[in-house]
Amino acid sequence: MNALAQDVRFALRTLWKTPAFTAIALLALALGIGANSAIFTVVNSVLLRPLPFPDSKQICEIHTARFPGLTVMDDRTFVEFEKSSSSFEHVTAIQPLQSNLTGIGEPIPVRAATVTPGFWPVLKTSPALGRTFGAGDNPEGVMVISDQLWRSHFNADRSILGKVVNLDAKPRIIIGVMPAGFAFPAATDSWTPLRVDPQPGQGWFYTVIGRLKAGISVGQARAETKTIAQRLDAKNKHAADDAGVISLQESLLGQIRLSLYVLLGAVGFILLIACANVANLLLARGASRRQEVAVRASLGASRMRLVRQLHTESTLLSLCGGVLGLLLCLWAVPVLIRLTPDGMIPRLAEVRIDSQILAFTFGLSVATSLLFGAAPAIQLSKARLADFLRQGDRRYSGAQGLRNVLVVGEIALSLVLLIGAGLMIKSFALLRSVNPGFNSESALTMTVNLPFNPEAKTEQLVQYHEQVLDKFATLPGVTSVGAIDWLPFDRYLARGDFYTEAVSRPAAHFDVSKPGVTPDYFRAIGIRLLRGRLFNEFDSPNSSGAAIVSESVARQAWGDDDPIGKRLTLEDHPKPSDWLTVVGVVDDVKQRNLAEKTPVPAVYQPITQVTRVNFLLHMAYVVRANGNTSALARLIRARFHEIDPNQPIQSLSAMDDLISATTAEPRFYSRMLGSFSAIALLLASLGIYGVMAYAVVQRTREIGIRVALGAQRADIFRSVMVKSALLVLAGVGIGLAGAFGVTRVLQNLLFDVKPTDAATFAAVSVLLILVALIATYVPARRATSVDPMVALRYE
Amino acid sequence: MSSPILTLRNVEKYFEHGPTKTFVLRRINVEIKEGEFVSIMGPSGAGKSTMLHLLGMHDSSWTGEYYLVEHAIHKLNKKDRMELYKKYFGFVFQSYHLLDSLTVYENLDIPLSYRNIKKSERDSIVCDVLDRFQIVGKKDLYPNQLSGGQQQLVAIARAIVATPKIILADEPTGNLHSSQGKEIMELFKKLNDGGTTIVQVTHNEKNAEYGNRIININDGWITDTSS
Repeated sequence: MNALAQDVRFALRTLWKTPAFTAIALLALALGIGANSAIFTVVNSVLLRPLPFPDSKQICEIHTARFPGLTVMDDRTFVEFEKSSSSFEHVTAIQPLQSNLTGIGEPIPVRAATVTPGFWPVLKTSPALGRTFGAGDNPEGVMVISDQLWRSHFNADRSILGKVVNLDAKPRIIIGVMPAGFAFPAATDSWTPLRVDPQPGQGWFYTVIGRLKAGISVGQARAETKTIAQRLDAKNKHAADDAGVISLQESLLGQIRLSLYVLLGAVGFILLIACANVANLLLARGASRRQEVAVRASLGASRMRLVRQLHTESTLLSLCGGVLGLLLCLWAVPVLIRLTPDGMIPRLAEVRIDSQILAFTFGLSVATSLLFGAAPAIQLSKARLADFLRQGDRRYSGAQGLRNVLVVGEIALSLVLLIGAGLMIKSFALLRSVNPGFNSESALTMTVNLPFNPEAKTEQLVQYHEQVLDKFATLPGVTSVGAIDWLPFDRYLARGDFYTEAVSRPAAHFDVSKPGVTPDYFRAIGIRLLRGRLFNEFDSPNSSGAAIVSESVARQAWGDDDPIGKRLTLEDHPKPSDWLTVVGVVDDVKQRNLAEKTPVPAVYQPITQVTRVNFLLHMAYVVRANGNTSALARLIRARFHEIDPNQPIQSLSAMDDLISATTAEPRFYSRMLGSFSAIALLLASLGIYGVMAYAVVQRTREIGIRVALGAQRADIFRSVMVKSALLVLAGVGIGLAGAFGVTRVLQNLLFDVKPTDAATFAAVSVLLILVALIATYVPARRATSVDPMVALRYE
Repeated sequence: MSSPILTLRNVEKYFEHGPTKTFVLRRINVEIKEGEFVSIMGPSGAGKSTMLHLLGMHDSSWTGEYYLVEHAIHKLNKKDRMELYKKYFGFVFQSYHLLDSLTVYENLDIPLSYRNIKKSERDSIVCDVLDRFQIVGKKDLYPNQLSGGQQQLVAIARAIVATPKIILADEPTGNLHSSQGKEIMELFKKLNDGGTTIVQVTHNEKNAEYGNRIININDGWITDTSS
């Protein structure tokens, strides 16, 4: 212990006496360790920590149907499954909603979920206040709220229980408040009872989760689910194909696992580069400490004791770097959370720095000290005493080979990171340049979810929306207004089949979106009319049904024939009045995101001819204006509330922002990888600068002799640059080989770019070579100014 | 004078450059008895310091036989040699080689620490040596705060702090003024009178007179040994 205390004291003193070295080493280590701790904080909370429910491994997601991006179960199957499954203790159906909460002052939109009573025993989480609802509760009358909603809109009032509020215009009694942090499904603020009651001619789909019985595995539950699905649809041989059971944690994590591990890998590279840098610094410093080490050995220090003393310095450096890294992590994690697009990373609200992160940082610091400290310590302790104890023999050029290897390694690692970032940036740029099919500039969009009223008629709803549009049309600067129930790039999309008149069975059977629109919608959003006409005032509820189709529908259904005048229907069993006549053809548009390989084809109807009330409850108004739209948003909000002060606005944003939101994820990755690779490039440049600067110092005598023998400054400059270029080219070569293998993991994150895109590889390699050669320039210039008279007296 | 404490038999050291061998020491046969004060002299490049460092086990690439008391050094491994070195030797360098980052006190403490002596015992020994060398007032100073003579004094104190039986000194007054050098040699004489065997390398004939034997080396050969 005493010897250790001695070593620590000496180490502190040695580091204090060399402030420049210590500062640079600490900075490099803090960046490397801090970045790793920050990303690991997210990985730990999101991927590694179990879900915040008791025995969460027993909770599974169960499905019997698949849609793009969704796995669900229909209502009929759920009812049967709940009765007949023997694998699950409890199962529950969940339907997330966007609802409106009124009766508390200003009306607000809330994320809500209707859930069957089994929801609470599946998640085994008791409320913090009051109770949850069960099978005996009136499904229309009660609700449970989140802790977040209770604090933000009810001032954490402990007498909240029994308070009546309106949710989607229906009065509900608040009977319970869930504990802080409980928000399942993600970000849900209120839960109301769901009664699953299948009706003929209707079908609802739900997310279904269940808690496995003790001793039942996921595999057994999956097999049972497939059996039940096949039994319920015995005529369909493939009924069980889409049935499955996976752990809830797995179903929530989906794609994000790969992305987070990519980020963790990237910061791991930074740490390796930082370690190589610090190791190089230690090796360079070691040269001046050779004599000290030799003297210590001559005083009786064993090799183990020398290595331990040197390693104590590395460990101290690393631990201090770890402390600074932890401070960096404390700053970086909230910034990272703020920069993460909404909904991209599940469980983000659970991310926190806790004792596990402290332990990780400490462990990483210790491991880092081994990584960068071991080689220099062993190298230095191999002192050939006689060589260093004799008077005047200060020449030492050992470990140059090791330093060169480290620098080549840094260059290689930096190149891999840079190429990854380059691919993401190119992918993002290509994505952003995709034409969505409409003009998003200077267009604002406002969305509402009107409450369901069983007595409401479609005409009333249409009149409501037309009134809103008329009000918006008179705002200053507005050039056109329109409305659509399923706005492109919004969360919602209704899709289904359509049939043409050509044959009695569906010949043109393919998935289309079926939005209802006002006549000026196409003008407002900037979708081109290709043929025929747009909807007008003559397309009324009493006139024959009209449809406008997108170009891909026209091509699919009628090939080269003119689609104008052709007939189609959106109903499976159409009455005569369900047949629609095509009056126009418009451009296809992207519906969900810019990365859609093929646009979702669309069959548009005038909203005056939409027959289902619930299709007119969710509406998006599109307002196109001249010039700047930022001031217009305030006016739109105010004008809307003149018409309906109690209706919350679901969202109000520029169309450009809606599109941006769908590219938020690739933008995030580009920024993250771009930032990491910039740090790596800086560290690698410092690394090569350090190696070349040291090499020039070591070669001072040799350079002096060369100059004295007639070498020109240009010769000296060239020799230094060539030496550096060889190291850089070696690093680039190894980095390219590594990148070919590593960048394949980015495959699923890239848009329209191959992971081995030659142009990116070439451009990034050239950039790195240039930066590295710039880093060599200063030492090379310094080498040309060596005075032979001074150099030859160097000893 | 008693039995030999250091014996070299047919010791040779050379460097190989391809087929050629360059000898630094040739067929060295020397016996140094316990309590002797021996000076090794010769022209520059003769092999004096090489022989001294060989005796101090700083150099392990040589041939022949080397006995330290009854221990056959040439048959021992590095670890065992180090143990014997710690037990028997103290080394004084021409350039002092004090550790610049340690105070005078710490420079004296470090050899004891390397010999796994307990802290309380070390403190007592160091204080005693500081007192003996009359440098108590300088114990918290760093080497760069001392004169050359003071540094060499501290270096000698460091060499004897673990009470070695043998002190090896490589040109101990080489970087000092003559008056400082005289003080150092007086100190060596005193240590020798106390029973410590001293082997020094020196160019200075006056310094050699403090000893009782001179070994002359030229071109790696021992040319003569005179008392």
